[in-house]
Amino acid sequence: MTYFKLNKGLNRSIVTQISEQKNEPGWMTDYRLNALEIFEQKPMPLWGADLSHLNPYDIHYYVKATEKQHKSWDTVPDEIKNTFTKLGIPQAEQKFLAGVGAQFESEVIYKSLKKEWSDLGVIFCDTNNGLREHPELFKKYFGTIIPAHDNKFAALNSAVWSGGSFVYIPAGIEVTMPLQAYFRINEPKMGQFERTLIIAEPGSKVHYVEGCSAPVYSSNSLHSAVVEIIAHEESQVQYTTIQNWATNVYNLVTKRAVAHKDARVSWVDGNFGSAVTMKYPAIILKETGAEGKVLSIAVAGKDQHQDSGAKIIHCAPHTSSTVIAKSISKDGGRSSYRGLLKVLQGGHHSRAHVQCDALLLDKSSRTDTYPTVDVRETNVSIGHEASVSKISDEQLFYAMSRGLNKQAAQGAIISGFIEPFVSLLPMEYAVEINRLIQHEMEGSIG
Amino acid sequence: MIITQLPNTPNYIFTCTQDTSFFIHEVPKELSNIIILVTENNTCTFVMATKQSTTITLNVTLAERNSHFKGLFCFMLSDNTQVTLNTQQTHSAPETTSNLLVKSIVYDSAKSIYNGIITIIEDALQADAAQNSYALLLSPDAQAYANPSLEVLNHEVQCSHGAAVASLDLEHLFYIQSRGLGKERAEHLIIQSFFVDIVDYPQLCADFLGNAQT
Repeated sequence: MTYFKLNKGLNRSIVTQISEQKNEPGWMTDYRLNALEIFEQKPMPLWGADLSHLNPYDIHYYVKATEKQHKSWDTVPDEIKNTFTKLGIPQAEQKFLAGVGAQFESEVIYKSLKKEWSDLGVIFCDTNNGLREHPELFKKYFGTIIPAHDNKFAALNSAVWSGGSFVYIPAGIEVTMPLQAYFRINEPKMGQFERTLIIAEPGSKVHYVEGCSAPVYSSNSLHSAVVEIIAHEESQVQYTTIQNWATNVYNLVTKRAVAHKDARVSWVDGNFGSAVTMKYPAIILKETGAEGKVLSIAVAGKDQHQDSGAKIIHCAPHTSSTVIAKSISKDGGRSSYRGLLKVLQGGHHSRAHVQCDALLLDKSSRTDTYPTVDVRETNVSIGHEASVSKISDEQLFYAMSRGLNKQAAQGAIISGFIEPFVSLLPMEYAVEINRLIQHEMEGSIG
Repeated sequence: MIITQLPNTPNYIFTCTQDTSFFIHEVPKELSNIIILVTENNTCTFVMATKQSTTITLNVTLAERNSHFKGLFCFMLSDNTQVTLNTQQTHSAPETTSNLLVKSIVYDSAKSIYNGIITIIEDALQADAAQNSYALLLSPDAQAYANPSLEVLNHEVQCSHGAAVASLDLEHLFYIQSRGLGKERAEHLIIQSFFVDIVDYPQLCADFLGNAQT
């Protein structure tokens, strides 16, 4: 396997090389260099998860497969094969996921936009191609929702981004099949910095699905994506992420959507794996009647910290939002909900509801809830509720008295706990998620 | 023991070695930190009902087995008053309970800020903790901010919290008015009912609710 790989580290010359490698226009090179300066000026965030073991200067910022991979199935670690088998992924797809079939690194090559959609004017391509082939559209929206100075890791992504998806849905078009993209990390110490931009024109409808899984490597990897969604009048956008990172990955992601008049945006977010995840999908309800929804589930195992949440800003009257966050902590893992619910002046008659449910499976695990509610308008209805529980002996006893063994009973209770989340996923994902949860829980409850 | 006055010093530290109730309707100007430690088999009740601006931190530690805390804060804020309340409930022993309730009515351009944390440490098995905050905003310039947080480090616990911000429910108002009461009277009734929890504490109730503004 040969890679085109830049040296480790981060400086002006690396950033310029990335831009050159992609034959980008001058404004993008300048944008990247400017973002690099912002990244260097901003301090590491001191709130949230512990990032002190992360060294952003010890990472390959650009890796590109230059030929087809010849790795054989036999070299894939048994642990990963085992997981695939348990998830019930077909053999062909297993090979693809393990990186021995069609193989790719930072560049996304898995694209399956049906011809019928391209005839309708739907654009679904790699973000780099988006810049090349649709420069005006790209320039109009790129960085408008999450500018480079938004936070340190958004600045990092803006400087070194590579890959991701560019999606454009013309007015009035409904895309009935979910658009899917697979991202993968298969190279030690390699960062992934996808940049996704979704534009839904008035009256359009799209469901974008992103699934991630990564083999286990010992050196720390950094994943720092930026996702921007622009939902114009009366459009509907659902963005679904299922993440199952290796347990050494730092996953620091900025996701934000703007919902215009009567638009509906949903983030559906499943966080498994990774060492540290800091991810707070945001929705800005900018105009009257906009609706936002965030549904998330986090599973924190040994040595993991899932710090996730949601951020909703009501800027206009008659807007509504729902946040449902579920978390499971086990084997000393820690999951945190960190959210913001803000109603600005002018956001009267808006409604919001936040619900956080945490399941703690053993004594050494930890769960936190840090919701923030900031209301600056009257005539609103805002609610937040949270609960922390374990699997109660009574529930267990009931299920076991019906003939299930302990493990099956616990599995059934956990499946019930996450059901509101799973029911929103496309079928094949729902099946995989259920199996993944069962697999994660094996032998860990008791 | 009942305590109705707090000292006018920046810090006030109190150890509950017997069942103790605080009924406070005025926060001394200098006072900003209240630290309460509850010992074995004792219950501390802390009730505050005020209309003044204040910035105050209440730090309660349930230090020994079977200790309990019950807190109630009622704020009625008008004009430019601003209340900042920070609370910390720490459960450091097994079989401890705490329940904190914060209620604010915010008029004019007043502002209510609430930051609360419940921490349940590893050894505090069978702890039961609750924390709720409710705010009623009665003017477009009124502001309410709530950040009720939980930090739970063991799994043998009951822990919950809630926060709600709303304005007068027009249906409630309509219902009462349809029974023949004037608008002002109806609003007054709803506000009184919002503070229903304080009715259990007659020492503070009359003074606080007697001349509720409508």
